[in-house]
Amino acid sequence: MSTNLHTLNRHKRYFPELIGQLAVKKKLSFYLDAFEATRLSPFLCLVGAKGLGKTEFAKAYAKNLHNDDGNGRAFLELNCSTIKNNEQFFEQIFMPIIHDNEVTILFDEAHALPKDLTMAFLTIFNTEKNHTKNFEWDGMNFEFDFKRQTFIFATTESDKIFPPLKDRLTTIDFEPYSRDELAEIVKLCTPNITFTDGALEKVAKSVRNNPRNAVMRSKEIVLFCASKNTTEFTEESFDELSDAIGILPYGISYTERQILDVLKECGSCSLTTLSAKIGLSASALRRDHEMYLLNKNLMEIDGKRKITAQGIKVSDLANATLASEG
Amino acid sequence: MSNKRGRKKGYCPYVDITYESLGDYLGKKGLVRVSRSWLEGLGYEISELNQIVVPEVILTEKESNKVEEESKIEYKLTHFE
Repeated sequence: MSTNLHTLNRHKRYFPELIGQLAVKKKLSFYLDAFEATRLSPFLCLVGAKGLGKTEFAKAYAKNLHNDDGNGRAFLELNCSTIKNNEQFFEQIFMPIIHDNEVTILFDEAHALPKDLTMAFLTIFNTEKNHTKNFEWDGMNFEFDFKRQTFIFATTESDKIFPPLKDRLTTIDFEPYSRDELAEIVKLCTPNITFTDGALEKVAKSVRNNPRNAVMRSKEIVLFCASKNTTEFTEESFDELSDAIGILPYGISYTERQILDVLKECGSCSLTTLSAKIGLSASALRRDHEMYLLNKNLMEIDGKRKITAQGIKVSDLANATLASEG
Repeated sequence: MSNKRGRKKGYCPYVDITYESLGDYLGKKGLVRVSRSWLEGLGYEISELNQIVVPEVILTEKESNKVEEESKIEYKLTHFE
């Protein structure tokens, strides 16, 4: 019991502003405790769908790391898709920012690392007992000190990371958020607004399981309340906001609504037919639109694409919403 | 009277200077006399009227170097208090 309480307090101390992801918080808290004792952190790889908070958690983790002198450690966020090769990385980033400095580095979109830098990282992160590593490249020597430099990677596509590199990293998997957690995020982002229970549930339902969407929706709610000069957000307020900015049931997009309409009309159809009717490529349909409908049990794939009973309900509701807008 | 004439052993009439350093002195439009065969070796064409023609290949290469120089890694550095 006391251990559980201790763990809970530790999470709150390290991640006071982040909602959900208990398993992630537990693991990261463990590594933060270890860092306090050893000044070393494993090479972390945060894996999860877009908008689940990987960057936010990396930032919060980095905020808890301190330099030798007790000051906060700087946090460097890099977008890997903009790194072209080793030369560019060592010239533009390593020498001016990392070398001889205490800093935490986040390699975001790590699946887009260039091949030569991936190979370099295989050598650099192949540490056994030492906390330093000298890497020789192009006749120059680059020194990495893992007590002074902490490396974190984040990706939505872990399967695209070169497996030997992945083996050198400690994977942290993110899980989907519950509706209650999404509601909590909305509340946290709108501290001056009071919600009726029904309104908060409706809002949480409309943010597509995604905390980034929850933050965006919160901003819209703040704007709505400011324009109405009120601090209370009710179910009617949500309906009015939905009407104004076109929020459909379950937060489905207009293309997803079209898919449901086509499936309702056809009964069932192939991906090719669906693609021809909607006017989007089959891969775009599969990657960007079908996943959410499948996740919400609004459609199913059983050889062919079919709409579910729940999907028919949502489609009717969406069309009613659009008709009332018209 | 010594009968040794001419250049000393090891003497070279050329010296190395970086393009940057020369450019600092002459500027971008400064005229530099270079050997015809060296310039032709780089791919330039020289007409009978001594007009220099820059071939397409060199123009394309110059452009791609420019793009390479301009590609910067996107990053954000945060200092926590």
